[in-house]
Amino acid sequence: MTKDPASIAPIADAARRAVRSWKLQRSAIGGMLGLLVALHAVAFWAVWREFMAEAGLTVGALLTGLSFLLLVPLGALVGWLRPLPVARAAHELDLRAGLDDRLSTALEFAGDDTAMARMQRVDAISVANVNVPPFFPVPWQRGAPWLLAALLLCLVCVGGALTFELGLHAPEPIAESLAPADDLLEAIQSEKERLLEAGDKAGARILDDMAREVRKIQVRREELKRRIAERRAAEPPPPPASEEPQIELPPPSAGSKKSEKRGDLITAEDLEALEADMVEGLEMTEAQMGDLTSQLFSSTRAAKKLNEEFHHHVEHEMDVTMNAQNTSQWGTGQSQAGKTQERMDGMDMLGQGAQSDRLSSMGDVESQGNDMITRDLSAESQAAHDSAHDQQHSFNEFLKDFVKDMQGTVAEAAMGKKAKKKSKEVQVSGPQAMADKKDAMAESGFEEVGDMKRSSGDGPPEEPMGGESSAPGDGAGEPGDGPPPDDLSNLKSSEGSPGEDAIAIKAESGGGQTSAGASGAGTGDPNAEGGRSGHLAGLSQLSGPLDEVLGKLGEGSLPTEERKQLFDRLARHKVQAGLASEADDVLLDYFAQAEELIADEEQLSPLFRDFATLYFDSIRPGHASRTSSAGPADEPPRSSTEPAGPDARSVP
Amino acid sequence: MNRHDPPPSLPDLTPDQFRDVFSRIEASIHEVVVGMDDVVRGCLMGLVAGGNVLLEGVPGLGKTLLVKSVGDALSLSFARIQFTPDLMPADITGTKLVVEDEHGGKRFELHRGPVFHHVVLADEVNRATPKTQSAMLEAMQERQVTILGETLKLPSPFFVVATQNPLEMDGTYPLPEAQLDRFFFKLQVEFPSLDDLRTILDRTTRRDTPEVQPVCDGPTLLAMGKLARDVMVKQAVTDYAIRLVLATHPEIDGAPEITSRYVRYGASPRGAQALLLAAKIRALLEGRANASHDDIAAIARPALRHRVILNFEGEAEGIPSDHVVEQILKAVPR
Repeated sequence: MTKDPASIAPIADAARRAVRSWKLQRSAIGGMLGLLVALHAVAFWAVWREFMAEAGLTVGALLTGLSFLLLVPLGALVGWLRPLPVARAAHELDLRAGLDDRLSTALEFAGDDTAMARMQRVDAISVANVNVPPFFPVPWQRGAPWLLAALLLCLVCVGGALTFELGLHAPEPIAESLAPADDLLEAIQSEKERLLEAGDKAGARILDDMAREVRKIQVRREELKRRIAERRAAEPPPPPASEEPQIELPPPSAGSKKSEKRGDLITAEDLEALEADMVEGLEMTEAQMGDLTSQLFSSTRAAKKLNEEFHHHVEHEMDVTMNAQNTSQWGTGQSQAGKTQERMDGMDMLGQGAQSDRLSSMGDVESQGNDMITRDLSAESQAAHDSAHDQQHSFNEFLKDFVKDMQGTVAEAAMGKKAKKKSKEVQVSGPQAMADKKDAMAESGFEEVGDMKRSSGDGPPEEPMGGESSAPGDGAGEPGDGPPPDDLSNLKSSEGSPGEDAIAIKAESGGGQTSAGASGAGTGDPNAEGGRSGHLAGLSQLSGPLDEVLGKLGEGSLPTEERKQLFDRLARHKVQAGLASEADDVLLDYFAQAEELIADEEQLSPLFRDFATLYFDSIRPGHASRTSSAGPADEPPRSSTEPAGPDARSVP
Repeated sequence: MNRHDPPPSLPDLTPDQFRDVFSRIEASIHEVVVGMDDVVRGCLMGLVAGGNVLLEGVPGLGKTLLVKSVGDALSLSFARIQFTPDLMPADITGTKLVVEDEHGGKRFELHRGPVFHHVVLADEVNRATPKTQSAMLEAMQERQVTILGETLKLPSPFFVVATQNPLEMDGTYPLPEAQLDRFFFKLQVEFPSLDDLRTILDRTTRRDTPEVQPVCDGPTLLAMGKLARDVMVKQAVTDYAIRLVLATHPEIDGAPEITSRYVRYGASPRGAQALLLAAKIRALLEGRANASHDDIAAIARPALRHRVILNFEGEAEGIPSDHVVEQILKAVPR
């Protein structure tokens, strides 16, 4: 295979012409793109200089902006210098000229000397004299509208910026439209007159500048006040009250008055924002800033002095009022003095607030003082109100604790079920069981106070559950595995008063006087399981099978078959362990309660009676036959050695 | 020369001779077959390329006449097999029968089937059972058949033209994808136009009906195929054919949207081979010694339409395979 470059010379020449034409096209397109970008940049430059920059658009700046036109040759250069292989150009020429890949194929097989390759070259040469440039035209028609639009935009922006003075970049102060401001301007004016009289024109000019800046500050202050008022007017209303027990709060005291925001006041935050804004917009000399600061401080001192005078005045009025009410039944002189001091503290706080709001001081402080006068003149009613508020507050705290405790009890659904069963277990236990329970409770730190069981405060507070209170071998001392908590129903079923006693127990056990059960539970929440489980901590001998029954069944997570197996196993094997009677009592009581609940229409709708009956029948062990509504307490206790035969079970 | 024996040597043809012979064959066929220019050219391109052609069209459009005319124009033997559900593979390939010679002895004698012809028309090929259809696979691809353990070469050139009716699909066995892929082209036989129909009536209702005159023989046809394979194809054109085939595969990254949506799977490498070979033949017919992008694009439809298998969504929405190929042609840059 011999290579014959001469034979492909016309083809290569055509390809090179295609390269040149294509590069010219690329350069023209690049130049147009550069011109397009440059015109837009100049337009943007003109607008920015006119409206954003302080100097505005000048001829020099415009010439600088026109330097963007350098993008035109840059784009053209990039278009020309981009690499373009000859084969690629030949392929493009084939496609554009409809040469059916003759040129590019001939170039690719330039070294092929087969008959077919020679024929192909001859065929390619026959079309190689094609006029190339028309196939690589500059897309003027496509680019012209864009270029024209960009040029028009550029002319409009530049011409407009040079012609019109919109003044947006140099707003004039509008202090003249405002009411005569404050004494600072008067002081400046008087000082200016003094300086003019003294012939110090430079100082007068400085004061003029200062007065202008003060007016600006006044304008911004008014604007800020307006915005604050608008913002507060647009604030959403406070959220609705929650469904928790609402505690009627007392009317706000003088001290709390300070925390409220008034729409017509400038707060410290607002003042800081104002100062930041002011400093940002100011261009003052050191001397001007010092003078202005001095004036501001003098104004603040004047406001503070006025506030102190007002404060003394209010104190005097209060003393007069207290002397008149000294024989009041609601408080001693000492308490009144304390309240007076409290109000004075409130006044101090008010004074500090006024001091911080030094630019808006006088009128605001005066209005606040008027409010305080009105309130202090009714100090008698205030004392009565405070007393009632204290009582109500303590009651509310008590009520909140109570609700919280009850919510915790309700939230533990499984524990609540256990508690129900255990309370009945206490009822159905025989005298010996009750005596054992009392002994166990006494050991674990409970003492019997009247008709209720109260946890003694001096009991063993940090005794672990597995210590003296829990019987060895049972699982009562493990965290979360203790006997289920007793609840109010247990106490209610004995003799105590329902609410207070229960609360007293919970309060004490939750207050750190931990019983054995509480510490054995090991939980940090005294209102949770550990806090209440101490009530039945003495029934440790029942805790093993009881937990097995109550824990698994009470959770309701045991499938029916396993539940039946559990009861059966309990009936078969726990008898031999000597715990059958207690366990049977629990089981019988469990189903007795279920029957009572099923029979009670207030507890269970008759619509669900069949379902509930079926459910309890499905989990009923063989020896726990259906009892009457009289309950298992009427039945003689089973012997501990009496086996429960499989034939006695009723399987649904 | 025995018609079933391969020619001892092939004549050398030039591109001009190729174009001349091809034109004469076309003209001879058109003496009988009216219209169907693309179908006739497609059949001849498949014949030159050594491939097989699947004709799809309703009955009565002259498919059988066309194939028979091709055989007559090329002086090649012609056989027609009407595919029916009870057609057995031995009915196609032939079998060995026990015959009694003059001495009273018995021996097996091979009875060749109709597949032992140069041009075989498998009429309504989708009506035979898959077992019978598969009997054509070996013949179409390997150019040989095996009868009772004996492998026999088929005559060269060997050309199978199968037809199927797109309307009556009850009781048919659609050709499996593997068998469809063995057809070089799939050509759609359209209903003739008004002028063509008038000419058909004029020709077929006279006393003297035209006949196809043989203008070419088998060796010349094989030489044409050999010449077509020498056509120059630059790498960019080959890559274009490959990219077209790849674009028919939905599982490939960058597949066109229509492929991803409607195509179950795409063309095999046989599709790319068909694209390139047909492009070469077309280039020769266009008077060029090189295949171009246009050649690839021009024969993409008959070469790919039966190799693009639509998915359920495509079938349900009635998306024609030609539409998919057209969209692929638009999506794949040259």
